[in-house]
Amino acid sequence: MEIPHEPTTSQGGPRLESLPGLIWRRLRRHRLALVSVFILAVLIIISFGVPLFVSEDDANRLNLRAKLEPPSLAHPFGTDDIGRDILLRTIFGGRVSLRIGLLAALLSMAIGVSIGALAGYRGGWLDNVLMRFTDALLSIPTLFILIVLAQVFGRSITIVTIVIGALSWMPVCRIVRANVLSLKEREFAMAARALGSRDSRILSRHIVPNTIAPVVVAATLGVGRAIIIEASLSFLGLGVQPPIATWGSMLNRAQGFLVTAPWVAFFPGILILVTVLCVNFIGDGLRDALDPYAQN
Amino acid sequence: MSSYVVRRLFQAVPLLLIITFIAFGIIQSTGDPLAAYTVEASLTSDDIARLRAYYGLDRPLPLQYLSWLKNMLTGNWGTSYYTRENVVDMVLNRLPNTLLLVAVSYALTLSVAVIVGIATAVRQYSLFDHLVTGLTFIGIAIPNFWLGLMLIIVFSVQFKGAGLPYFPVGGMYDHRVGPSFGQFLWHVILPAATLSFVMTAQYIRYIRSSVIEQVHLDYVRTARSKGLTEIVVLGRHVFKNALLPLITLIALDVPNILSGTIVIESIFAWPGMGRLFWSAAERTDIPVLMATLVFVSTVTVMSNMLADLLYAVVDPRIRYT
Amino acid sequence: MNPRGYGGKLFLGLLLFTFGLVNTAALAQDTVIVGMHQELEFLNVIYTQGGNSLSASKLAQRGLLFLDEDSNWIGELATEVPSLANGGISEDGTAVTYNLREGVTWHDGTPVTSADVKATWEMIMNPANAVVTRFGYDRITSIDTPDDLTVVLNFEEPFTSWPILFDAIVPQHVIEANSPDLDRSEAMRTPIGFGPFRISQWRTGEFIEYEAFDDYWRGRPKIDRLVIQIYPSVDALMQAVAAKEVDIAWSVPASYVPQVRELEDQGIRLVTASRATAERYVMNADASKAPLFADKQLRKALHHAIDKQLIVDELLYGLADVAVSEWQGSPWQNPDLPAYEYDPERASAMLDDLGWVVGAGGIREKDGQRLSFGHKTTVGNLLRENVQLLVQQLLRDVGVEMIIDNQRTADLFGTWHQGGHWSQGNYEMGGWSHGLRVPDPEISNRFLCSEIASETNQAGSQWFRYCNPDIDALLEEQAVTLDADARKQLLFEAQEIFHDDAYVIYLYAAPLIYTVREEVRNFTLHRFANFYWNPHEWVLE
Repeated sequence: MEIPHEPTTSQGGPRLESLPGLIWRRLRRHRLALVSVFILAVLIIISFGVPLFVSEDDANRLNLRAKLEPPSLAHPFGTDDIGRDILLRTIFGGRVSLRIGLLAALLSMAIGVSIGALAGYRGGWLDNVLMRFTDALLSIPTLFILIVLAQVFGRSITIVTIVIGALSWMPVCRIVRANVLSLKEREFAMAARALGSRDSRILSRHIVPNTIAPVVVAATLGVGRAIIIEASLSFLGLGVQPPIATWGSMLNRAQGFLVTAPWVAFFPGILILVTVLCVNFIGDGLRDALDPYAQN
Repeated sequence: MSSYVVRRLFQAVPLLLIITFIAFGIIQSTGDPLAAYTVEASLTSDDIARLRAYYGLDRPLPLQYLSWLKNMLTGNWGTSYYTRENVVDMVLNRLPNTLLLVAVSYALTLSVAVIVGIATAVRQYSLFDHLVTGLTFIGIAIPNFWLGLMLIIVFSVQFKGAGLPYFPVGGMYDHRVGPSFGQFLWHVILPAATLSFVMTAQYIRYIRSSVIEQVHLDYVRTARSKGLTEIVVLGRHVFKNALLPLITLIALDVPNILSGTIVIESIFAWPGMGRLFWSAAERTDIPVLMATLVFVSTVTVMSNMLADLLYAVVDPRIRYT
Repeated sequence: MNPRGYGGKLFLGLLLFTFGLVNTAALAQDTVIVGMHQELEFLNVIYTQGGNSLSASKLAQRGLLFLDEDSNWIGELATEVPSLANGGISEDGTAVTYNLREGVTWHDGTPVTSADVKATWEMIMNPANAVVTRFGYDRITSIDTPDDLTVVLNFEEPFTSWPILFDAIVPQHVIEANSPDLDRSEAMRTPIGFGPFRISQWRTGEFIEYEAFDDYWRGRPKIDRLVIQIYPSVDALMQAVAAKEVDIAWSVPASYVPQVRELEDQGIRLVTASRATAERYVMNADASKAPLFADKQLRKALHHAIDKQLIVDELLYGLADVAVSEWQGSPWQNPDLPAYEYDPERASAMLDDLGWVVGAGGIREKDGQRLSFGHKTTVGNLLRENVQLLVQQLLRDVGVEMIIDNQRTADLFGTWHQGGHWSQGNYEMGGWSHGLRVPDPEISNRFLCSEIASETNQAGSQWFRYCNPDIDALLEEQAVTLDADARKQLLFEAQEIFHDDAYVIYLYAAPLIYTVREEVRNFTLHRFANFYWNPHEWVLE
């Protein structure tokens, strides 16, 4: 991803190092973040790579002769109550969970940035209306409204993604709005306006790039949040249609076998934990790397 | 200050109105409340028509909303479609249980977070500090329902199997024994621990970093140089300045912990508001859904307000006009 | 002082009293705890639609008749079952006379009389009361009570399902004391009855506590208290079973059977019975909604592709029978109906003959159309989902694609006005079950053409969208046939026709599965009266 940077060459002075280069150099020093990038990359490669060789039908194939088998060489993660291989389903589930997490975070970032920028830049009644709406959404505890929405709109990967994305943009929106409010009074924006730039140009060329750092951090952390939210919804039985696996829906099923087959509950859960942990470390790393006050 | 309070209260009204409007609009499309009757299929056509009229389901939606709003404002929150109980009673029956659970969770969180947070700040970069930091990262990343399941596997199933002291899997008390304070404590530990885990992790990190920040400030150096003991320095000065903002953090966390109760109460069979909401959602019990949503939203709005006010109180630099 | 404030004080008092102490009073009594994984909505038979609420209500409320071991009607409040032979039914079938048992009293000590029966009928028919169903009661023209112990029901025309009426009776004095607004009165939510137990405390969503009724006419129950404890999920309930926090677990889903069997050496046993309910997959008979299924041969091919015995053996652990009929497990089930045999080769050959040839991805195609359809059932039921996944795989093996599109109960079972999927016929194949709740064969509304839900008949309760004049004729005739055997023959004939039309794939007879700790003796499960059949005989050791 290209990180847009502040006042471009036309206004900026000479630059010793490109910003992405700088961020990467700082990120590299954050060892946990680096390890996390590596683990996450492996997870993504497995989740999206294995399905190229194994069909989803095979991964979801029932084997009634091998119900609830503990982990073994044949089934490293064991099997579930209808004899499906948990390792394969965890991989396919990872694909869905990761996709939902990433896309929902992207969506919430897009909505949050647009609404926040609009409200902050325009101000006035529009700002008022948008912010009251944001407040209203923020005031209903997330899971309560998500449950109701998930019930209204049904059960498909796309819908779950949209619902989660459409309900997690509010924090990003507030960050962006606050940033825009303070930035638009700063010199470079005033100067641009004085030079006759159009609003949209000022927004996209000057203000948005300047708020990108906190947004990137928030969005990264948002991926972890979205994965957990998806898992919670699926855990409550509101996720995607069977036989599609997600980590949350596998845990939903596992609830009945905590005593007899704890491995059914263990593996999907530990993968959620590891994924979210990695995402959070990367978010932390990015925060440090993007911090303009950090010393080199 | 008082005019600020009044203004905030005044702003809360349209906010709550918007919330009820959004909630009503969404909830109406979650399915047919009469489905629970037709599942068993001995209803005749006449029965269906009669019940629809009885519950007012045959009226246009805007009318249904307005009459709901009017009734709610006069304290009539309706009766459940299923149990025909007064919804206010249902909420008030469940509320104390959720409040108890939340209170114990907060107590757990605060006591653990304050002690561990300060200890890690004082012993920065020690083995203990690293260990706790690692745990807090896990705490923030762990899905609470999974943690709940794992705690049940270990502390209820395995411990009991091994003949060790164990915790019950759910409920508020054992019916063979009846309700008592001891029973309550015994039953509340696992759900409260699950509910507070994420929060505790966050607070430890918060306290650690703000104590570290304070320790390096001038006034602490001054205090130290005056010859005050470390305990006094920490207790009198650092503690106060580092922890007061925590109050607002607690108020802001109210909606999160309420969300958490949905999952935790259903895993641990805790008869609270979260479970009330969840079972109402499963059955499209509209009056109960609306009441719980409005209720938790009001609590959230109030706690946000409280957070702002507390912030003003503890931080004299902020003035509200 | 309002009752809630009182309860709060009481609770506080209890807290203080029992702090550090063990509540010995409760321990000294024999308490049986029944765990349920579904909330109870109402403890009054007249206001509840069924499920666990009905069973729980029946612990306290009883009616005119009850059932014997073999599901035959016997007298409860009535001394015997009216019949043509004993003169209880008039020659023309329009009057049914009950003689009431002497000395039966309500839980509050008042004697039960014929006036209570009449008052119950008036209450059900009163428009101010939102009772669940008036089916049958609306056929009664008047009720005579010549004396305290005689009730005569008068009908305009013979009503053959009369035994199902008055399965609960509400005391006249309670009705009078709480009218108007009877519906919302506490006396209707937790009614008194003359059954073996009386309700002593109900905390919704938590538990219900019953006490033995000393004057139950069959004799005082042998246990002192019965508690129904509500768990939020099957899983929570099963954990409580393993922890021996409950004595009896209500309606355990079959997927938990292996888990329970592992607990057998700890003294937890499995008790099962089969219900008069068939799990079935319905092919929408409306060709505009599911054009594929208009082809009878294709329907039959699908029947042959599904291995019902495998479902029973592997997913129900052998605890059920393969089902064949809508009247499954009742005396009205046609015993000669053969189940469609599992024969995938035959299914494939039939599909080949119809011109469906295997195409891309192993799915059959014909004229560019894939042999693919959607299947809906309720979400959140593990057994149903497992069966669905197995059927999906079996169909896949013969080149048929079944796409799962599960929905919530509130959407599937909604009324026409709210867009209920079944009601509006918005499904291709649907999985749901409607059994016989009582031993009475009257379920014609599921087949009659006139009952198909439509724009002009929105409250119609026929969801198969099936219409066959031959079946209509048979069902209309049986509804007015007083002779039991003749009626049976008509129903058998209707079943044969329906079986051959092959719109409904019957899978298995849904079993009742309970777990019971061995300390509880004399527990029995009954096809219709499930666990409330003999709780007065349970003994705790």
